[in-house]
Amino acid sequence: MTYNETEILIKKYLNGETTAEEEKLLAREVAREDVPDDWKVIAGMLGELTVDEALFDQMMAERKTKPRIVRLWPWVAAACVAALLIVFLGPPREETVSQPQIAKVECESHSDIQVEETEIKAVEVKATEPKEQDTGQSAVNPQQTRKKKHKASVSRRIAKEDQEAPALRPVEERDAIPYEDPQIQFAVQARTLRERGNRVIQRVSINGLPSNNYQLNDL
Amino acid sequence: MTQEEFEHIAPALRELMLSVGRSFFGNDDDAEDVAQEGLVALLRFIDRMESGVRHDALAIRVAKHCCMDMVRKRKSSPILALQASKGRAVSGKMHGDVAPPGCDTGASPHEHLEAKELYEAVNEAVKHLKPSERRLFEMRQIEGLELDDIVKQTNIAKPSIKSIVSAARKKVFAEIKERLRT
Repeated sequence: MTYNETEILIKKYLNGETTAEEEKLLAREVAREDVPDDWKVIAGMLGELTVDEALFDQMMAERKTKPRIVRLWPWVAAACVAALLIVFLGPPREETVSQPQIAKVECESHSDIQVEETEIKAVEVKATEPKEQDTGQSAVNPQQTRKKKHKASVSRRIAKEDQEAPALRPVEERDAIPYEDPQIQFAVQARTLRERGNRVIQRVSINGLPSNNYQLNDL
Repeated sequence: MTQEEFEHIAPALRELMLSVGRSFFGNDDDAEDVAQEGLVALLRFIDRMESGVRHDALAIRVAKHCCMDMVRKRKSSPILALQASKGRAVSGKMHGDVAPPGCDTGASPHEHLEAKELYEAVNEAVKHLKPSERRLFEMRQIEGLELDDIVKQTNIAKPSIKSIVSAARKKVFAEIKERLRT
């Protein structure tokens, strides 16, 4: 309210024409600091009840219009702690095998031979006929000549086995043999792998294929 | 109103004051303080309170005054504010030691003295009014009754009430100005 408006309201008050709401409004104005002396007298006449009621209503109105600041971080922190507690303190999951898992697949074709073929092919042995060499050279490298002969024999054998090996077919569901116990499944698979590995080793050692360790080859 | 009549209506008035205090402070401890201070203040007005009349409006005004009084005291005294935050009761009086409204209790002693002088001048000027003028003046100023309510209670016509109240206020205003000038 402006100064003039307050003065008009004071005159209305002294004439007994103000309502309760107008008197509360007047009380808010005259109760401020640094007001004229006449206004202080009016404040005294209005009385502490009227002035305090006006201030009370003003404060309550300001609280309603003031936006409430809601802090979310305590709730987020509590939710994180609760989630962590549930994860770490919750009961362990019981792993139940609802369906028997597929343990191995037996194909009609010989899978061992397939594995050995890939092993041998990775070496890249080329079947070559021993060429006629000078007597001087053959005398100098008899070892190399023997190695070449071995390679040629191995490659012939592989080619023969390729012809003999039946055609591969894709794995079907009927090939699957389910296992009831996962431990037995694992043991069987491990044994199978071991056996394959032993066969590969035997094959390599029988055929005398050179290894990657060239120092051992000379021994 | 007699003390027995006041004791009869005190529980209902206390509930009103509790609700006012709870809505303002938001906790029951401070609301209990408001209700306690309010009942004590109303007890001082018992002589002026008429029997057979509802004093709900007066009780609410007194409760609001007690709330503001507590706020002023906490502002002036950090210790009281700390005690209030811990839920302890804050005692105070409606009259006497409490500075009148419009004067912050944190004000200088001179301002506090000025406010007290004004307060006493108003009381003295009201005492010098005629009984009819004083009654209507207090009904408007203290009880906060509207003209219609005063008409119902006094059976006086509204224009008459207006003129009587106007005359009373002008007298009080002039006397206070004279008193403060001297």
